[in-house]
Amino acid sequence: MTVVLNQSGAIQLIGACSVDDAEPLLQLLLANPIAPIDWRNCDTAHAAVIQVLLAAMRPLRGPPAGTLLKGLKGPAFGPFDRGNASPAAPKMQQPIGAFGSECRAVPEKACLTRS
Amino acid sequence: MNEFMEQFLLESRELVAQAIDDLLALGQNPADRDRLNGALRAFHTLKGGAGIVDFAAMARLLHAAEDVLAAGRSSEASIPPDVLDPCLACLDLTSRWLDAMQARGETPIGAELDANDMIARLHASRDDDEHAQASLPEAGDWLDRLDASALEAIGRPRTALRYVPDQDAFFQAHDPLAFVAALPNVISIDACLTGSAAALEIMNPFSCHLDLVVVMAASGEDVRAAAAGALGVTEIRELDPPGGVAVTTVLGEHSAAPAVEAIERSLMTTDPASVQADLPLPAHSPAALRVAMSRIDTLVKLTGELIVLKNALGHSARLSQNDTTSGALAASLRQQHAQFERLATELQTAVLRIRVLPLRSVFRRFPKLVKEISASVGKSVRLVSEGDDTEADAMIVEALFEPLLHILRNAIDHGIEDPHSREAAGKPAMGTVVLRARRDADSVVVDVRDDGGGVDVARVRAVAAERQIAGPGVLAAMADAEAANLIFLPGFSTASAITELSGRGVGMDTVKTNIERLGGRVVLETRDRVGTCISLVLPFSLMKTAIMTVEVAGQVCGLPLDTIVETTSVHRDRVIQIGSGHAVVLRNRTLPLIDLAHALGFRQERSASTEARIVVMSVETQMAGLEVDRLGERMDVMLTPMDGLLAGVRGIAGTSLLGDGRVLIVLNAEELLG
Repeated sequence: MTVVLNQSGAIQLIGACSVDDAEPLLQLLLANPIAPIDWRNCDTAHAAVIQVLLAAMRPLRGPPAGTLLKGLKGPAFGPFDRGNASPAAPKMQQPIGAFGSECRAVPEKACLTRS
Repeated sequence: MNEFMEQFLLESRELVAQAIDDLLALGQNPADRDRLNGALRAFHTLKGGAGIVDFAAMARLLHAAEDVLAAGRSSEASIPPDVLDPCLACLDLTSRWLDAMQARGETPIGAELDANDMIARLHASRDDDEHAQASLPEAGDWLDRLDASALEAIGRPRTALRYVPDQDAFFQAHDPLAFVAALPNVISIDACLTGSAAALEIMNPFSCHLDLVVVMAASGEDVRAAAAGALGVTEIRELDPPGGVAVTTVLGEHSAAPAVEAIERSLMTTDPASVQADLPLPAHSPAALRVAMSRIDTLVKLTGELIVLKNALGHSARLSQNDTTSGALAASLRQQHAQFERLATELQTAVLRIRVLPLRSVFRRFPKLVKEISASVGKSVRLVSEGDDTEADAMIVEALFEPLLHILRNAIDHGIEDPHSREAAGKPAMGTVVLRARRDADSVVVDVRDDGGGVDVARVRAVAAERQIAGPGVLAAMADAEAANLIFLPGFSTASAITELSGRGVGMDTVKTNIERLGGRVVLETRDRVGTCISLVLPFSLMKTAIMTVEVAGQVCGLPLDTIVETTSVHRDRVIQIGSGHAVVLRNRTLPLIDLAHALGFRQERSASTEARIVVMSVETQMAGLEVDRLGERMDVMLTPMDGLLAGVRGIAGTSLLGDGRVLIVLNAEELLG
């Protein structure tokens, strides 16, 4: 399970969140209108998931584990609520080669078929 | 008005002028990417400035215009001409706003409504533009979303990409985020939702409404190649052209000071050629120096005093020369005076040149106006501008717009015939108006020449008789050239139909008055069925006047040198009495002879000298002789116009000081002979 509501009432994103996780995430957000989102253990996320996060505009507990996600900019993504022990996100000044390899795996896995 | 606002107005005017230049050049050559980029930079910087002075309507308008142009830049095709007109209209509106701000010191009332109308017009032009590619949704200037600090830290080349995927991109197994992450050398990704995204409660998570902005340390070409597989609309901007990024990055910080600095920086590097050493500098590189007019005026006054001092030195030299005991002193003084004269003249020329502007700043406004005017009267007219790099005093250049516009309107409305009449007369259906500027010694001449039907002199005579402007005898005696000049009389209008443009009968009179107020004159030359040329002859500088001194009744007077044809001396027997006046025959031409002493009210009896000294003067088509007691010398003076109660005195152009401290009255030839 990559999108869950944990015991402390936060919605957690874990591992690689595919396009199929967008709908459950949306439902959880609607069912828990004040629940924060914790994506510290999230490695990758499909654009559909990111889109739901953007629409939700909820506080994000981060930074996320994945380099690509850490580097995301925009009104919804920072500054992160870092909790207690999260290390600061590294400042992106050099091209990050890992971007490509990390993310190219996602689309194959996250192929959505028209129903 | 505070200093900040003044600076804004100054810079904005320059940017508006530059944007107009670029857009007009784009009209000539729609594929000129440099001009398009230049226009975009000018619009962008103008918008930034408007934001700084909290002029939201202007920022909104320029943003919309910038979007329209940017859409043109992102496509490979040339800019469609129907996009340029509304953009030029935007700049016109901006100019009017700037004028209003200059006058009132605050943002103009009603600007919001004007901006709404103009934005609607801009959008309409874009809707008309039938491009196969969908346009990008509006999202502010997306470059503003870039992270300034990240941009500073990366090397060049740098390119930004905006990617708005198709709404069904997810259904096509496309992950836009992964797609942009795989682009070359990605530095940052900024994600937000497009305006069409729904609220969380009703959103369809599988319909894509993302708007991504990616910065890469890669060239535009590499990015273009890599982004070829995008499923949606992309826009690529290279961040390295000078000016663009500096403003963009700093505006993102929402602080005025760095933005001002960035605007200044971008202004200094506005032209790409100015930072590329291997390219020749264009002849029309943007002004590098801005000096407050008041400071220049102080300098001009100072040099004026220096000239007075120079004249005083000359006077001393002459005095000492008459003193036979100190010949050596005289020689030295004369030598010093010669050197001083050279230096003072050079200084004066240099200072006067600071006030000088090319006529281009006025001329460039006309192509668009001529297009509009000719369209409104259903004629086809092309405007040819020549010599727009001719320079003149800034005040003259600025004051020329209205008179020239009126002359152009007249030329199009009354001069150029309708297409059918032209074809019937064997002329091309499209009329031509040539606007030409040239330097002629100490004058600047601006000709407006049309290839229309010429002034209908018979009709001018008829109207003059009808309105009792001149008696039938006088009219009959008038040469055609003189009769044509009647159109410059107040209230004269030959237009059989008063149109919206001209023909109110106030125009040509106002043109003449305005030009004469600037120390210039208007010359009309017309040929039936061939065309008309109206020339405005203006002084190069308002500050310096070349005169010749003459003496009457012990008083020294100055006569403007450009009105003097010759000086001569005739035997008094040759002066003929005609009624109460006098005349003299010179080279088989009878000239009225005016006794200057009498004309100026000095009741002096002529001495019994056998010779009459005469200055022959010419004003417009009229020539006359002025009898004087003594002819003096030629000199350049800084003319001080008459003010206060004396401002209305006829016959006097102004005053200056002579070397011995006496006041020199400079006469106005037009009023003396008129």
